[in-house]
Amino acid sequence: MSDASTNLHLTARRTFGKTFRRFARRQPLGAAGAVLIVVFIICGLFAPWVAPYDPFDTDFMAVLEAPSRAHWFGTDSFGRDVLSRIIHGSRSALALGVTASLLGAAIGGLIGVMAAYYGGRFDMIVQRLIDMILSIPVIVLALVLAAVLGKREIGALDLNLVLAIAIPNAPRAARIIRSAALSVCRMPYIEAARTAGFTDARIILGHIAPNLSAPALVLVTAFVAQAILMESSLSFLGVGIVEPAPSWGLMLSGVAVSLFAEAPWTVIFPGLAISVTVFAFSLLGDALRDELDPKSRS
Amino acid sequence: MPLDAPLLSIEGLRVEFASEREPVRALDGVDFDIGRGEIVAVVGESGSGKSVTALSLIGLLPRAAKVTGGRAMFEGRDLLTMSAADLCATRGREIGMIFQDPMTSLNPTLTVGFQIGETLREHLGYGPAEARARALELLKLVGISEAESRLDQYPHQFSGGMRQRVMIAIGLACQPKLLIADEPTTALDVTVQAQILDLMSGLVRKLGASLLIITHNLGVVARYADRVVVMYSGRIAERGEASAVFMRPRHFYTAGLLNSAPRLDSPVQQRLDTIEGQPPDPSRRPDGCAFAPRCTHKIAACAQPRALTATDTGAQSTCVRIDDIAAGRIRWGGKSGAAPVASVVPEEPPILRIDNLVKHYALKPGWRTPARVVRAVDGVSLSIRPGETIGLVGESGCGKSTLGRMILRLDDPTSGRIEIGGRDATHAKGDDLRQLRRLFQVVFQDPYASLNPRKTIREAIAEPMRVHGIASGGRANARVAELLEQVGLRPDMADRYPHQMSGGQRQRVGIARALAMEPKLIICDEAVSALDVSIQAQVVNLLSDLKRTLNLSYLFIAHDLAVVRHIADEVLVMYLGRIVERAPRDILYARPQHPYTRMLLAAAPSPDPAREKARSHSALIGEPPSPFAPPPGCAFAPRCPLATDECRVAPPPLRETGPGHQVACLRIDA
Amino acid sequence: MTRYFLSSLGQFLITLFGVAILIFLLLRVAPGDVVEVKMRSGGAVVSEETIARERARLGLDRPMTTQFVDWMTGLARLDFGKSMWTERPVVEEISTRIGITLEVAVLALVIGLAIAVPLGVASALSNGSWLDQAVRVFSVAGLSAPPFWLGMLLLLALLLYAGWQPPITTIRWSENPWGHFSQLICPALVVGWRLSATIARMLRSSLLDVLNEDYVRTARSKGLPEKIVIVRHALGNALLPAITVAGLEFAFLLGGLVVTEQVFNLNGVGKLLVQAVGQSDFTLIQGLVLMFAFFFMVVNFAVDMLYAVLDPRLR
Repeated sequence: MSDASTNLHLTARRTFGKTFRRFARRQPLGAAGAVLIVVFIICGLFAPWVAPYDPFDTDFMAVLEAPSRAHWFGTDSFGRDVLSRIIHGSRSALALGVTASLLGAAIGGLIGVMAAYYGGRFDMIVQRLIDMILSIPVIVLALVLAAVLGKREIGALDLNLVLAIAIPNAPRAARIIRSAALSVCRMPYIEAARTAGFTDARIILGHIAPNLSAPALVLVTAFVAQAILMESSLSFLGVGIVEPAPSWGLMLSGVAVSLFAEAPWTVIFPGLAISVTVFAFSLLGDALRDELDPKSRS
Repeated sequence: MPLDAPLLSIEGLRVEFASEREPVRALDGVDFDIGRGEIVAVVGESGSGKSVTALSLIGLLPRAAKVTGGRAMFEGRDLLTMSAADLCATRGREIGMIFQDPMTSLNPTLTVGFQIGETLREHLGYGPAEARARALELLKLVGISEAESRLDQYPHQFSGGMRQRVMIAIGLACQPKLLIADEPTTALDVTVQAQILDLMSGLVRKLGASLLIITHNLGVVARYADRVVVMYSGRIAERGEASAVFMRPRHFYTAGLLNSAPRLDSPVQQRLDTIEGQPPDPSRRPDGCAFAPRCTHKIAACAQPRALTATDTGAQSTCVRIDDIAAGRIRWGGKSGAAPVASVVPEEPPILRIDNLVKHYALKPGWRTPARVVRAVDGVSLSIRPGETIGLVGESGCGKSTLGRMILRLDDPTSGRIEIGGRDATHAKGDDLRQLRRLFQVVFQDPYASLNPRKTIREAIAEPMRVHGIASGGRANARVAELLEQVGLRPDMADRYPHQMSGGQRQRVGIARALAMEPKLIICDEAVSALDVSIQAQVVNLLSDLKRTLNLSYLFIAHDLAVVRHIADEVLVMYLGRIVERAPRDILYARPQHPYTRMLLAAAPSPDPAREKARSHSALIGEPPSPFAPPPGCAFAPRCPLATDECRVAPPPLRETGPGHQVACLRIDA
Repeated sequence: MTRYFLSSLGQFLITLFGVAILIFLLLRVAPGDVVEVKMRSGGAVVSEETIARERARLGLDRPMTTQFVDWMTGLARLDFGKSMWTERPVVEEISTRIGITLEVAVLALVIGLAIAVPLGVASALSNGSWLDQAVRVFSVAGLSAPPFWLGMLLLLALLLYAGWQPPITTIRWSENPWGHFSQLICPALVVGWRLSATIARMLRSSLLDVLNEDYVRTARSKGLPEKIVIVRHALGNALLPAITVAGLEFAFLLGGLVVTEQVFNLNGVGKLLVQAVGQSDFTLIQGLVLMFAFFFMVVNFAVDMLYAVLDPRLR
């Protein structure tokens, strides 16, 4: 614990470039993931300028065209450019993935820290609740939630879809943060803070939470990967993002399934986009865990 | 090979650790021999390289470490360049090894019998039945009762001392020529430590093997070692016959180390001699004498490296000033002891009073264990007056820390009463408790864990002052500087983070943080136990000084009787949740009455070879019983030489046997 | 022992009861119900009256508490109610489909373990080397690719290179064992890879932890050959936490198959759930979720027991 936080602390004081170079030397795969993520984020942010076509532009003269110089990744059954839809799709994937995982980690993390700090009956009830939710497979709960909650869009973001992905993950976050917080709570410096007569809020927010930044960072990174995967699954099952919005999971569902033997590019490229994004976040998450949290490699 | 040639001869051993920057030289040329049938102790503080020396001999250095030079000739072969197969054939067969922590050194999923027999099967080709029979003999040899049934048990069914006995059985299974013991008793209680060391050295002598003991405990060296190697910062400071080195040290480090160790047999004085400063960072070790920066007698020549040189005592030392020391022209004098001052404790109402305090833990049932109640603290009363220091002594698991935690209100008592500053604090909550907390503070054992790694020293000390409205802003900063100076740190260290400081410095910060609240009482929970001898003396002195200048009271919780002797006015001895003896300091150490107190005093080794070797340990038996199943009656009865049937009926109450002297023993006459 | 068992059983029932309440409440906040979906899908014009009658027939018009009490009393008699869509008993709907899902799950577990154990061990023993990195990439890739996409690629590859297409209808074991197996193998491979990734990572890290343990150093100090040190002293202990993870993952597998069954057109409980959700078939969804939770808890309990048997410290 102290090693891990010391490391993080040291890195916080160095310049970013130096820190990253050191990270890249020790964790080449994680650094590769980080670079990929930055590329995806830039693609998403500047999608209208990066994408060669309008993702909604249907062209019934060019339906299901194979990859060519004009359409690098081919066109879909409406004649829309697959590459452009993938580039625009990265917006919803990243926005959804990041908000859902931050939300899930925040809710779960707060509950986890409080359960660890207060212990006793409160902890017991929280543990039972976590047990209940965890006993339902994530995808099952997310599927039911997404179906039940329906759509509620704020801007381009479907808030209910975010909730459907965040809620099943929150108990996981609670459990992980709780166990990390338990070991921090037992540290003499927390006991010293208690004997100094600090309020619970000061101890939790000022003393315990900062020492959980390492596991929390690892957690959020891993969750983004899971959330993106989850969104694509839900869209594939027809309860996530709906047509005509460009979504990676959606591009793989519906007609794509029946046509994939004839037009494999409509399947291969969106799936590749999902895989590579999730892969990048997973690599980064793994590397962060190894760097920051060497004791809890599980 | 001539018979009088040493069994093991180490020359110029160098080991480097890979690090982010340049490699760090952990061992910088170590030379010594171990003769046949000889017991050699390597002694040093943490970071001196003593364990690295041991591990490099059997090729078990951690991955990051590499032997970069030297030879270790064992029976005509170099251990350092041996092939992996040869090394395997040597380890366990010709060189046995015992490690520090018996709790983690045995495989939890294999039976004890199998783990002992494994060595025999591997090296001597024993069959399963043969190995089992021999394992049984070995278990008996190391003094484990009911060996037959214990053979098929798993390590978790053994106590710490018993596990270390098993480790000894494993180490000696193939009758090796050399046994290496790396801090073999550091993790054990003092009464168990003496038994294990007696057993180990006795067996080694009986088998005619040699023994290399790695230790930081000077008393252990004095009692068991024929020869001693004193290490400092990866080099040898002095080596020679144990009696010569201890009685007439010819290196200032050896002298300083011996002087700063708290002892049971030296005259009581308030202050310990200390070595100021701390060992050098191994990556910035000076070329010359590594100890020079802390030495009070350094001269220009100390900056030049110097080889081990023979001294008048028959030892060898790397000190430049051997001749001056030998001639008695200069003597080691750290910050020497002021005249003994007995604390004069005025008759004031106590700052802390606890009355019949009890803490029982209920344990939930497990797979095969029923629900149980642990009586961690079972009716303890004490009071501390302003300016008074109470020492609370006991072995691990006796409940002394739980008692401290209850007083700190970190744990809630099951029953009993705590009064602080005349106010009932037993169930105080919220603001009430917050106000009471200003009166008492704590200094914990582990200097690495007791400071928040994310806060600077300034924040750590100033935050309590701000929260309690003692000082804020510039006033708080000034106070932080003042407190740092008071605990012997430079005010400019305020902006450092804990990881930028050494263990001793952190412990000083912990004290400054406690003082920031201007408390009347400080609870020191093993506050100096994790520190090296030379640093420990500094902190003990600091605590004594602060007590005098600030009129503080301490509850000094410790397992080390010698340390307590140097700071406490009154001493309480705890065994399995109860106080068994309490007396003013001088009376307790001069005339201990409870058989347990006597056992503790008998077991504590002192750094005096002549005295130690003459002492008998025959009275030391057994280990503290499990708190899950305490014996009925007096908890000490099963280990007590005086126990009768009467003792096993009910726990004896504390009785007055002299002025201020109370003993909980039926067999001691008032 | 019995006390421990009873308290575990108590917790088990409480958790299951909690899941029941949770899922019941969740479904009742949903807009629309099975009647709407059934009668108005495809834009059919149906009178409010007809819909109300249908609701009354299915008991959807009663107060929520009555519905809940009814459902719970049914559960107590192990009666999960009837599907609101097909009106066949939920138990029947599930039991005809659970077999194939379990078969895929078990096959996937076998495949997962077969891949994970050698990979995890190799990667831990070569910590930091190219092999370790390669295993890591392989594992992370397995966790990153969406299972339904992998399924499609697999089918595509089989079609293009082997000209083989898995059967569309369910083939029974008794009719054609090979045909039956061929139906299972593709989904099991896809899910098994995913499973192997998690187990291999866990095994790697627990083996690395164990290799740093003092007792492994003790084993080396005894002069045992490295092979024995690793197999007897390290692996034996490292497998314990890996078993927990394998158990947990297996328990989650039924859920993981929800998407995969869709791709391979397997008529298992996963597909049934997607259907039920699409049709707002509340009783069926409730029954399925309870079944998933029950399965999860049973597997968990079994893993706990196995652990207690394997780890002498818990005996």
